[in-house]
Amino acid sequence: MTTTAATTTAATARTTAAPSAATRTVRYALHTTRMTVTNVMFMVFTIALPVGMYLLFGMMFGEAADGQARGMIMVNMAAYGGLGAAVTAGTQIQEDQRNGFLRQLIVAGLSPRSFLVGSVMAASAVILPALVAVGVVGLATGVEVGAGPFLTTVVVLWLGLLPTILIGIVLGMVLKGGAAMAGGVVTMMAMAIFGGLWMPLEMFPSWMQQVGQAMPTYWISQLGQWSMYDGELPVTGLLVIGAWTVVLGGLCAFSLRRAVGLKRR
Amino acid sequence: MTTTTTTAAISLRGLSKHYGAVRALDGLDLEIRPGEIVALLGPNGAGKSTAMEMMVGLATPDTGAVSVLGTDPVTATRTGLIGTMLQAGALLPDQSVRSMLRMLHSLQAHPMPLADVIAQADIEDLVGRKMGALSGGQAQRVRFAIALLGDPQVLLLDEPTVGMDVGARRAFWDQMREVAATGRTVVFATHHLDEAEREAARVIVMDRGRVVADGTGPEISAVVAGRVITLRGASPEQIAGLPGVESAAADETDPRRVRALCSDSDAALAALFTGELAAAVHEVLVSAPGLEEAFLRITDHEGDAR
Repeated sequence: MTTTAATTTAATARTTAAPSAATRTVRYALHTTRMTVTNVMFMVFTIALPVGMYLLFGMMFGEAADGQARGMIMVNMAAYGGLGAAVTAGTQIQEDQRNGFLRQLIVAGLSPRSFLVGSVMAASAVILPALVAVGVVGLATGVEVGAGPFLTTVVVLWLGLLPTILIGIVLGMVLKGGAAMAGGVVTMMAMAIFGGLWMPLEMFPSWMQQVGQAMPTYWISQLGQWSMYDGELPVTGLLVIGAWTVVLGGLCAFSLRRAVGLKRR
Repeated sequence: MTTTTTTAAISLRGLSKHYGAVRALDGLDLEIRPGEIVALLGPNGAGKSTAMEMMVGLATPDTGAVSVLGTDPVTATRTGLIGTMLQAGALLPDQSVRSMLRMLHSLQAHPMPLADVIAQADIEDLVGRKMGALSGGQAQRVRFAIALLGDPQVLLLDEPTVGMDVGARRAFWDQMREVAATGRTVVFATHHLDEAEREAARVIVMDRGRVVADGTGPEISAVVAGRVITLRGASPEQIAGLPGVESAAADETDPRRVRALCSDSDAALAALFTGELAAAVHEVLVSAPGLEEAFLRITDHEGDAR
């Protein structure tokens, strides 16, 4: 092992040869993904619950609208599963760092921004199993959809869930410990109900419908329906989801700046 | 021989920092040369941790400037010039030591081979364990390994031996000396005067966010150490009158004992046992004062002692 003399030239050489911020971000994201995916309880809960609910609702209401209801239940439950995984992963990743591990990452060379981006990437990765599991069970239990629309739907749901990941991360940064988990569950339920993922929004009083139309989850479901069964592209939905993403992204960046300096241990 | 350079390993100039109403640093000036082994000694709240956080860019000063090997702390951290053992730095309890080290290793700019890190921090027996199952002292060894990952030229250790028993402490410093012998600059914070004196060639005493003493270990010990004599059978006034005694008062925990701070305990004892008090005093004890007490001697805030 060599020892380098502490000269400014050495400092410059080191500066130029270091792995880029992007490389570090990806490495951090991969590690975090691996840690979450190998967490058995996380995977069981995020996959089993939406699959179970799909089977239940599919049995009860699946035959309506010439079987299209079954497809919509599949879309909604996949969205619900992704939502659950996204919020849980967001709060969990964030919770791990709140206790001071973020400081450890920063002194190891990860920038706060890389940390944030890496966390979002890792959470995006761990919502895929839930989406795919509900989709595959759906196909196996009689949802009729071509391969193209099916894949498009998975991708649409996946991208649409981005703001829900950011919600999880913001909750994790704002709330502490048990409150972050509880806050995650409450938020997830509220977004599922108001977004009409469990029951069609038309069954609710009109004020709830109005609230629902401002929810990203409602539009994720609408976009899923569009990609499965065609129809007009819900442009409003893209705008609503985009607005949520921008606002939450800003909140994340803002909370992060505070989180770095203040957390001693 | 490499070209010698005047670039300081660490240079802190006029650092001030407030956390709300608390003044953590108050015009801190400090220069540490490459290759030095320096102890930052001071009571809780002296500003040691804050100063170290600024050296790695975790905290930014309200005023003043920090430079590490001629560059700014954030660059120094990202390029692995400086490695840090954070005080109670969080470890992820559910992960194995190996898995966490691998991840932090992959983030380093110029990592030291992981096998070398494990050998140098002496954690071979710990790599397969879950982080949450480690004892306090074992966790400190893992934190030391984390500090070494980037093969840093400057090593910061914030209270590295907290939670270690005497044996672990000794083993830790043996490891540390080997690491330091490779020419690295080492700065560590501690509460323990003996540790500072034994392990560091230079001891910097901090109090209330400033440097209050800076010298070799023996120089600092001479200033801060002194001796305390406690005894029974005489009044504080009688003891205060002895040569070599700076002050004497009833002991806080046992009012019938007299506790005397001495500048020259030998002279005080000689006078005590050859004078008229010799027959009256009993249970005479000579000891080194605690660090807190020692600090009172050089930081002159007796007036507001809490």
